[in-house]
Amino acid sequence: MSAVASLEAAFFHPSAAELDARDEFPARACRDLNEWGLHHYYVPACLGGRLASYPELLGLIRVVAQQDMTVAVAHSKTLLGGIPVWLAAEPEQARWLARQILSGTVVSLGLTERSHGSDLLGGELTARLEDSHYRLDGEKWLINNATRGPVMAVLARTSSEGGPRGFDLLLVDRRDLDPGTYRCLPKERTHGIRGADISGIAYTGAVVPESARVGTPGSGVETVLKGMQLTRTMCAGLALGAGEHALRRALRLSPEPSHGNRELVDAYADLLGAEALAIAGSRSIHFLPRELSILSAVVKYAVPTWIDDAIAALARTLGQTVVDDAMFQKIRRDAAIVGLFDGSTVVNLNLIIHQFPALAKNRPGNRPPSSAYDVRGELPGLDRYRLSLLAPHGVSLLHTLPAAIRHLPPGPLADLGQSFLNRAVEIRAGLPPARARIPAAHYEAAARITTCIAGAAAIEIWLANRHHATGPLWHQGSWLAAVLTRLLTRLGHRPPADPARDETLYTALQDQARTGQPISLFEERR
Amino acid sequence: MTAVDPALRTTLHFAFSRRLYGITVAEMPHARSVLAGVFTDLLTVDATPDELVAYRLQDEALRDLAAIMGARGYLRDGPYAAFGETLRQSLATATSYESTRDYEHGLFLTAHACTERWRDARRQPGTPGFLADSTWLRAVLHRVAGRRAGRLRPLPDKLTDAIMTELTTRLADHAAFGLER
Repeated sequence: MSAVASLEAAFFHPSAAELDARDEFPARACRDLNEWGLHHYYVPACLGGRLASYPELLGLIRVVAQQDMTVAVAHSKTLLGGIPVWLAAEPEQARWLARQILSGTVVSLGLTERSHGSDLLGGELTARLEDSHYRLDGEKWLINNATRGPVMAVLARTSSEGGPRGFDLLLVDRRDLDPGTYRCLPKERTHGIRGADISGIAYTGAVVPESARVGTPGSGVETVLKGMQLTRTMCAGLALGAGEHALRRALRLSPEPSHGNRELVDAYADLLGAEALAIAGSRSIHFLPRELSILSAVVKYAVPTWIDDAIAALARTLGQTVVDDAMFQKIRRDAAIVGLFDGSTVVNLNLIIHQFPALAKNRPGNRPPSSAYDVRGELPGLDRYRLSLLAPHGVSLLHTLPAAIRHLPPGPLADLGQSFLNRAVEIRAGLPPARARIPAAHYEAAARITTCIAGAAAIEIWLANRHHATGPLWHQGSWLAAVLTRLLTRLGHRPPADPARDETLYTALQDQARTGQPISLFEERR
Repeated sequence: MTAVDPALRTTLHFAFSRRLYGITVAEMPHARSVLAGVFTDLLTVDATPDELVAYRLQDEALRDLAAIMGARGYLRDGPYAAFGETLRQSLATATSYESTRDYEHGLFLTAHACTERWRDARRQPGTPGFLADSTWLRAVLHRVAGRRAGRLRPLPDKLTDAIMTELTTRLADHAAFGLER
């Protein structure tokens, strides 16, 4: 049994709705997850943990989120605090944090401030270096687990001018601070993920040793941005879990929605397309680290947006019983957070827009090894030195799309593929040059190129897994045809309807939801 | 679906006061285009005879505004708490229409109804300039056509500017964001 399947079987959390109603932290569920050992998957295998596969981690986060997003957010926050340290810290510091996490310490990541939000370079919390100690002054706010986690990776301004090299990441262990030099800020009551500890911390002259700095002086922003390439991709697990939860819940509440329900089938296809993109993105952490600056933004923009659309469509189409359900309402409120944290939708579109020139450039490339997109394929270890803030050669999924299309079986699938390729070529050719003040139309162009990349990812996932994957979704390429149809529709191009295929998807969804199988492309959790 | 009107008002207050990357959110072309689009949709909702169109436009409007509000729109306390409350209420409201109803046909009826409203407004002596002028109708038709084609493009800059001017004036005058000023 895979780790993901075993976690799914072991994790049982029936009190999600009650805790939510009381804004109560899911302490028991988090303890259960620790007992199972989920925190070991936040620490790289080379440091004694079990993190060796990001696709696996994506799956683990997803199966927790499909029961309760609040628990997934509360527990996996430790990963956010850990990742920048795994990427940039000296071995001794990394080993220290690994020991902390493995023994159950909760770690948080302190990036945002009250007046600056996503504008990291606007940060005002300062760390002044005095005699091999940093003195911290200022506040971090809306930080997940700021109060519950004794250790926080804090992004601090270390040069008064600031700028991209003017910040450092400091690993601050509150247990070592003079209690008079810091204060935890009260929990903020939130719209969704109500039980989560969304709070903050204020430092007044807190002193930490110089050795608390992660990486070389001035590297804080770069480390954080690289870390986000990984965590943004993992955020997709939260959204996929919420989408799966919403579909399952909605179908349970309205067991026989009318056949041929277009919006229901579309919502399912959106979830499947989001899943294919998330799997491709998480595998790219291992295979294509140089492209992650774009791919992670694509995943973080598209997956939560489509899932949010799909959940809205369910509410719209399945009527009052579903909408009145407290759990369904919770899923919707919870799902809305994923588009906000770790870089909002707009922030991610900005990241894509800044790389338009690279995305437009054509570069003949070889198709990836078949193991790259085969969910059973071996993964090379993550090479952190190959992570980069820019992807000068763009995204290879786009370069190899014409070659991939040629492998689709002739018939409806190849036709859809060709039609998709034509749009992608047009869209890439029409990408405008980046400008300092970004016009509104650029955001639409970024959303469109995202759709192109998602389609290319779906095609590669289908090609690499079609010989071994089982289930009716894989018969005659049903899911790929449905996903490409949805993506083409998002691009303003409507392929003809295919009622037989809709029926296949509808039946597959009903079966998956009724029998408690994963609502997923794959019958087995990985 | 509760009124999007107060949510838009809250978002405007936020957008004019929040500074990011050295400018206010209301100065960012993307946010301006979203705000102008939402206002246009509220005008459309006011004129449409179709419940499904009204519901979907308001639902999308709230989600668009939530993207501008970011984390502030997710808090249940503080100056923008009303926003989350509107969102919560709207999530708990179902539509009363039949799910088989045709959205595209509804959009067609909507375009027609908006054009009629504009014609009537023009004939009516004493109609405020904005409502008699074709700007709002062009914006409405741009968005209705975009939705019918499945591709909602941002409004052209000129329309965005004109609509933002009206929106700002109404905000200052505490006027409603509908076709009846």
